[in-house]
Amino acid sequence: MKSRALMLLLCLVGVLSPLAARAIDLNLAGTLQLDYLFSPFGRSDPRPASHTLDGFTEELSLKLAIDISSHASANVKACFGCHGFEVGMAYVDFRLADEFNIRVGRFSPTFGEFGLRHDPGNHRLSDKPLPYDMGRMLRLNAFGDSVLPSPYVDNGIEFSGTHFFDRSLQFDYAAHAVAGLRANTDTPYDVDFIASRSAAPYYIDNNSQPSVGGRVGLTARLASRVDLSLGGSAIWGAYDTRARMTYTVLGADLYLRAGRTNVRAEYLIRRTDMYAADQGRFEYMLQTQADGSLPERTFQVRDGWYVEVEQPVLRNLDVILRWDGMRRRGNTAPGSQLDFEAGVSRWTLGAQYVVERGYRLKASAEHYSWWGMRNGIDQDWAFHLGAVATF
Amino acid sequence: MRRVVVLGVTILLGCAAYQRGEGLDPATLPSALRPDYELFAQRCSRCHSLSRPLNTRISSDDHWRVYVARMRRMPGSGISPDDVPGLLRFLNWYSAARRSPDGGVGGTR
Repeated sequence: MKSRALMLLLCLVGVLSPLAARAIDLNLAGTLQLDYLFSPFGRSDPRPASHTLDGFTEELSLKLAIDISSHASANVKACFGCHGFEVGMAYVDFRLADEFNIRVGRFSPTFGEFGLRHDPGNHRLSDKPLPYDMGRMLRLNAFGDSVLPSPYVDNGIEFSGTHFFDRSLQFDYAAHAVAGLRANTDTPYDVDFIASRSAAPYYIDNNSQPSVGGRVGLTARLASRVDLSLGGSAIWGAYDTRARMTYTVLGADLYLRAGRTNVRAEYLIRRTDMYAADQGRFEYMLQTQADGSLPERTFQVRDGWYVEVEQPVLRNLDVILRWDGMRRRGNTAPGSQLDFEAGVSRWTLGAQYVVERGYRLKASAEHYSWWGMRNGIDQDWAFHLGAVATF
Repeated sequence: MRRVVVLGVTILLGCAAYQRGEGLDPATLPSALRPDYELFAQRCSRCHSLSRPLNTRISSDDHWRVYVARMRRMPGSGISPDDVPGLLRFLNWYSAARRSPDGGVGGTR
């Protein structure tokens, strides 16, 4: 099953390779990152990283972009990482105009700014910002998943377009309908991101209701080497098998480039319904309705943010400073390590060194500050050392 | 603390002594193409490193035209239609220089 993505890519390469001689333009690109995550042991907590993907982690992606004509293109991407082989992209674009593109297939629905850079070859630190984290934050099992783990890949259709009002102002939009996030139960606490991306059920939807969303963005060229982008995103859908429990994700993003300095910032918030008709499933007392019965649902809110500055200091050395964090508010399961309100703030100082064009080393140190953790832990350190190749 | 400073300075000096960046050294490019390269370096490094387009095996001018058009339509690319001629001028020259038998120009290999 897990080799299907690779087989699909290989078959596509095999089928389309002869067509290259007939002027269909193929471009094969890939990324490989190997990262080592180390979190020092402490006497009070001998294994702070026990619930995350520490040690060595490898991420590999192979992408085939096919420009069929000036109006049509296709992309297929196979990924190998912590979840094994997966299809990260398998879609076709058809452009009627710059302002109207139709994408169908399996893709990352447009949301926020980081989605475009989720590939480890395209972001300068080893790991992702906390609101987009997918398994690298410490104490992951205690805290739960991030606001919207990236890459979020789904099946569906997306309309998008871009328009330049003049050389200095670009407007773009995207609107999608996709299968949506999942939980393979009708009594969920939260979205199950593993079920949402698993190939086990053949990437099919778990309910019959599509999720909808989109993004609008504005990019202004303030000076010859100064750009500013602002964007707003939203996703809404139902995630349980009966399509009764809903989630809403909202996001705002900012990108500023001045000379060679990049500043990126995003804020994400997700409100997720939880099945609530059983007090025994919760740590805190649920609020009863007027007739004394329990409501069918309550909700939790997760929000997160990051601010990141990338500063080249030499031609082959960038320094990166990032502040990110995440909070959770809402009832918990009995025995949870989280209070009703809990959160984490993290500072990261990192560097990226270019050994050779397309081959880089990444190193970073991270300091976590926790609050609302019942085990009394309030600080952690983590260190990353990795190598990434783009080809 | 002193050890950390010494280690940091040593690493910086080491990096400075061996500088091979993701991009090209503009000083090694034909002067007429430097503004086009600067435009390329500014526009095409927002979402990915410069090694992506520089290491790709695209060799035909037509393919570059379609490739750049696809990139231009990415959200927030900042690549306006007016930027395209300059980008293509550099990329077409770069592809030809890479293929040249004299070993490439300006670190193109």
